[in-house]
Amino acid sequence: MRPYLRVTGESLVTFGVIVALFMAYMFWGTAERASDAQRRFASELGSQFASGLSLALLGRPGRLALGQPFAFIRIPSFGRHWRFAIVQGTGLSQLALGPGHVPGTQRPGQRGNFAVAGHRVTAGNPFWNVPRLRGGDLVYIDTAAGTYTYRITGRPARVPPGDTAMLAPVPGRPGERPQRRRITLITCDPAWSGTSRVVATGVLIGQAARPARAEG
Amino acid sequence: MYAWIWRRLPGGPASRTAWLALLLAAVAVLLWLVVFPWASVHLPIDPA
Repeated sequence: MRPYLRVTGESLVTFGVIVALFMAYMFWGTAERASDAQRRFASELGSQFASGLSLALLGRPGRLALGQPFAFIRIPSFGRHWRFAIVQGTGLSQLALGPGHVPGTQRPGQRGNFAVAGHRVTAGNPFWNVPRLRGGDLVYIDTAAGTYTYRITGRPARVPPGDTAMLAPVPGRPGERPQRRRITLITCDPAWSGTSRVVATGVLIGQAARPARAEG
Repeated sequence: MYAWIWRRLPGGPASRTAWLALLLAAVAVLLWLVVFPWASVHLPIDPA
């Protein structure tokens, strides 16, 4: 009896220590991994935008590979230096590196709905403050083509996880033909859970082309 | 389990302590660099 008790006790203690270590990884390890990736994406996008190479990719859905960064998102109400590179795809391995563009939804600036999902916690907590967005807050999307400015239209809504209607070209009305150019930001609610999603929507209010680079 | 490992480590108490520390560090590094990154994208913690 004694040896079994000892082995059980040691196993439980070991398991507890591993779980504690895993929690530490979720807090700090994932943030470190995401910020490494974001640094890499920032330099990649910087040279891509400067060369104008990715212009050919814009407006051609389906050409972006999963995990490929293609735009920056900036939200001044989250902080003056708050900026993340958006990658293609919303699988957990993409979201681990940054906010992800929902495949099948529109590109930045297009008529319809440009949907971006991001982690509320872990991976640098990119969308921690999405539930605090308010009507009038501005969202900037920087792409190879230029900067798109969206204005949030109201308080974020809480929807069940399986609700894909908010990803439709007209959010909440699947099948309808879009007139406006929108953005949808999605994250988990409450934090650390998959119980429901918080969704913030905005409309395009302006766009500025990237200044043409002098040839030479 | 730990007693079993302790008995198999070479040398006196000082040497065994050093080996044990090395062993634990190796396990921690393996967990942090391989197991946790894998687990964090396969467990449904904060799915979006």
